[in-house]
Amino acid sequence: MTALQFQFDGQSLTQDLGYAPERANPAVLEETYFIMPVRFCIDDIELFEQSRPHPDERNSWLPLPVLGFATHALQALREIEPNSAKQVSLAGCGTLSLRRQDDRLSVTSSINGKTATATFAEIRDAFDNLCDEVRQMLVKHVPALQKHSFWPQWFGTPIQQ
Amino acid sequence: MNGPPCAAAFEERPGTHLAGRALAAKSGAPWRVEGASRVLDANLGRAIGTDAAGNAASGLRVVTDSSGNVITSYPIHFEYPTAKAP
Repeated sequence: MTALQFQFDGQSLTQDLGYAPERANPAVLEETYFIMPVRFCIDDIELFEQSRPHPDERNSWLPLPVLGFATHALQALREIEPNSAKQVSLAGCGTLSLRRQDDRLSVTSSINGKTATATFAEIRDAFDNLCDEVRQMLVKHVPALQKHSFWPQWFGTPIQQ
Repeated sequence: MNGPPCAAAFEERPGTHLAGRALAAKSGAPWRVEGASRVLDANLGRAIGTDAAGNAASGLRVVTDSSGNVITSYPIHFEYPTAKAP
């Protein structure tokens, strides 16, 4: 079973709203805005688990810019061909390496070196859902972002007039 | 603009000489295109700081927009990209 989720962080969002996200460079939005904790777990393997801040206190939630992470990973999953590999950047910290073999996808996290495998469809569906949840969060809390010129590239829906 | 979401730190100022060395190290290699971002991971061959986990990092990630404007840059634990499945 694949668990892929983010925790809404109102404090981070409030800070971002002070920098007019609707007018920001799209690459800046993808890399440095909407930083919220993300958890990615496949069959009880926590791919974002870190030993910080204390070695005995495992933390499975990794702060990531959710807009960039969700859309970049989904882009990679749409582009990856059978029996090939791709990498997805984890902003500020590392990389997810994807290896697709037939209908299976292995994911290796540079955060902790762990690898987990599931069906390609299951992982793609998880990222589809994450992307939709991020879109819904932005529609609700940053409605002006729907007028951003890059909105259709992120979410495939027309720019709101 | 917000800073990068990490605890990574440079041991020296992340000036243009580091970015230039990263570009030189990866000369001719493709950048990853991720949405509006362009990502370059380069191995600089020696520790240049620490990654988000506090480990020595010899890699530098440079992120630009599609026009080449630098968005952010930070040390990473360098891993050679895998070009094909096993």
